[in-house]
Amino acid sequence: MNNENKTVAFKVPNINFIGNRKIAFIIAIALISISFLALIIRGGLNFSVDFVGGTELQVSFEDDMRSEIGEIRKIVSSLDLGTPEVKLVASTGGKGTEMQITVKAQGQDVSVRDKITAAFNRDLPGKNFTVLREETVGPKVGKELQADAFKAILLSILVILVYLAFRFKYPYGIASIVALTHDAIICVGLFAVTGWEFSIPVLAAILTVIAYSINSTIVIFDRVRENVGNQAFAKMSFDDLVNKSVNETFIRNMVTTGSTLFVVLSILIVFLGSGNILENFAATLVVGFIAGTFSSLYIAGAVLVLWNKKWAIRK
Amino acid sequence: MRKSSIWAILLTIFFIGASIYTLYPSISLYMKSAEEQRKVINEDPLLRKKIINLGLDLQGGMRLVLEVQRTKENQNDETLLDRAYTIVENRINGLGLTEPNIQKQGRDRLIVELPGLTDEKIAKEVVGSTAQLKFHILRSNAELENAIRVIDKVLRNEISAKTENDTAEAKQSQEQQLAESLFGVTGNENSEEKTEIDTVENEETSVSKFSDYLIMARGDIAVREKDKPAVSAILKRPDVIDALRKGGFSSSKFLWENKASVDASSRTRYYGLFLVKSEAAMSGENIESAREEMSQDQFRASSPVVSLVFNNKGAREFEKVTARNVGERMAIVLDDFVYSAPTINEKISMGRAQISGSFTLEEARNLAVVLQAGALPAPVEIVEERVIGPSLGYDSIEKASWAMLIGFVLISILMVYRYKLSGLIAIAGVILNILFLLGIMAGLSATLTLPGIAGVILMVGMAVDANVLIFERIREELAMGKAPITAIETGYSRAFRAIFDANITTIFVALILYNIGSGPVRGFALTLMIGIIVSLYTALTFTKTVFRVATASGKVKKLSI
Repeated sequence: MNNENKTVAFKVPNINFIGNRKIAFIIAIALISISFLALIIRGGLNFSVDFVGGTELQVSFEDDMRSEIGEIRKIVSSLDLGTPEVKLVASTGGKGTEMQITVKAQGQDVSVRDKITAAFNRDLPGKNFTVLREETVGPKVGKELQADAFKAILLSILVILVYLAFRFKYPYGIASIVALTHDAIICVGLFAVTGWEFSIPVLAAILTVIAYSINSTIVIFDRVRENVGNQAFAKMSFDDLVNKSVNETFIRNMVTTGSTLFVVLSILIVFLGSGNILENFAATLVVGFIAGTFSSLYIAGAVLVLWNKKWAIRK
Repeated sequence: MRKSSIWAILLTIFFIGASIYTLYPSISLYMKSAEEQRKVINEDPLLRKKIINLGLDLQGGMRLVLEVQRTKENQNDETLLDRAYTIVENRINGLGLTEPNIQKQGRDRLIVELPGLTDEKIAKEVVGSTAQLKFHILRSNAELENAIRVIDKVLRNEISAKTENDTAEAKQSQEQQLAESLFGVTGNENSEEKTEIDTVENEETSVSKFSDYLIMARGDIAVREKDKPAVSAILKRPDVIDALRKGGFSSSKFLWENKASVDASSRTRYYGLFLVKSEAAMSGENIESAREEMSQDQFRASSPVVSLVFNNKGAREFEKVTARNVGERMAIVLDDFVYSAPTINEKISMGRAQISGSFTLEEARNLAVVLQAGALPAPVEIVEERVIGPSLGYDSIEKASWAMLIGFVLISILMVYRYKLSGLIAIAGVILNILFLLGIMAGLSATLTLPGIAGVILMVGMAVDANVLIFERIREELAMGKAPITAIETGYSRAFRAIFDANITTIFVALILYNIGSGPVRGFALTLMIGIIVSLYTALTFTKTVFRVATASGKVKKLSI
């Protein structure tokens, strides 16, 4: 044996993940309940025009219009297009003001932009502005996307379940789905609580979180599978074995979480307040990755252990 | 050195070379200024297949989704979408943009992407208008007066039903008014006289007479812009339509002028209103070509017009129609709007016609493009419209680059801190990943969107994942006392299963995302998928080979990991 290599630091941590599962479950259930409560109180999510139809305009004024937001809101309201959302957005340069104006869910069509620009021309004389961006989605398309989004999430979960049941035994699949659903609910809960706009990129972020969470869970389960097959641990209780597996892969999970978090945090910071679609996208990823790591460490293994108590996993 | 290592090294060098080769056109293109870029793309249409294309959200432009509106007749027409596709394609090609893009979606939709175009009015007019060209003969002035009188009567009956006005008085002042309007000039004068008459009889009524709204402009009846909705409403009323039918006007209809004219002195905006024969004398389907030109009118300053040339069939038909209607006026109607209504002075055998109106040269050109391409087989509705100005795109690219840089630096610090020299090798692998990813995208001439860039950045974070798995494993083996070479081999083989499972599921999810997403999100799913495949390759081949080669001699006792 080559003793020189013992200088390589490899300390397996000894955190009691499984033992503390009660607390973990309580936290998880609390977060999920908050999410659902927020959803009910808010009466649904603040869907973007992608999902409910409407028009979103990003307008740049040459002058400082910050104090006149109320005025602008009134002008748009008077057009009978529904209640507008008018939001200031971090401008990319100069003294001008950039705003996002959104009208939704009233069956608006492509004439909305013209109506709004005409109103501005009429009621804000002398204030020059440019429309930097316009997104108009008809109500039919919006509904279709809602259905598609729902299908996508369902399909993803199904595919993962099937694949895991195929590669591991199906309790592993179920346990991963539980952890993963927890992550998805927390991401949605983020939007229910904050009322941020839920757009297609956000959906993409949630699917990415699902994929990422599965990664961590698989790494742990792969280790569990390996340890289960290892005769040296045959005497170990299943609980201890799972706990050991989680600890053994802990560092890897932390490093990966760390590096991906660095990356999405830098995206978030750079786009903060700019009204860009990547803003909510990155925020979802940050929250989702943290939730995902938590669920992989504390929830997935715990579910496996519970399952084992009722229906033995190990022969 | 093992044979497999040699192969791996050669393969890696090959991929590096291939990536640089495929990326070269993109790099040389995007280093140029926007002007030069446009020029180069225009000169070489094949270039688009060799470069990474920038999505609309990055370079600015417009995306429209058109839905064909089917009626009972063409409900099952399978060729409908294809025909619409061809016509829309011809139209957008006629706009002279760089790289317009059109795709079919499902049974009824067309997705049109117009990079660089930000005037959504043009897009809607050119792309979305049905463009049914028809020629209608105008009814005579006498008939027009009659029709107006009929409508007035309907409204008057309503008035007298509401109040007890003296109908005789009303009629008299009406005829007086009509006489005034026929000799009068524009709205202002009329309204002055009108108020005197009005106050006499209309004190208690809120319903105005039809002719109250009408003014005279350049020899035709017209309506002030602010009155247009009211007049439209009147013309749509069932009792008015009924009265007109009974009054002998069942084969006539009212049509609006397509564009408002402005009276120079009073700055009033008004629209012409025409009474035409319902049945078109001729349709515009036999046009061979349509072109914008400057008119050669000796009486007026040269102005933009659209010149039509009929094909043989159309020319003969046109000859017949004009011969039959010399002295009459013929309205040139597009999608039920009158563009102009010139008088037919003589039979026209040349098969040419000219549409004049107050066009700008651009409007004339757009109309010519539309007429040339032909009418759509069915009307289309714009169900989705996204317009992005280029400035937002550039700004986003800049921000995203910063994010990439910061993220990369942070990860590098983390990796080197934890895994020392091996960490450095992993980072080298990440750089290769980015190169390969971009190279593949260039090879596929894929489209890079803003979420796509986010995907690349994300991939940087996830790419280290595979390496981390392997390194941790190697560390474990080393801690158990195994020799470096053995530790490396065991590390890789043991970690492989987990890496494979984890990444395959991510690819599945990315595939699902690719299907439901469109445009920007699709770009994200694409970079995610390619990124994962690429990082798998690098982690399992490149870094492994580096390790193998480094320890091949057996002299390395301690692994810097």
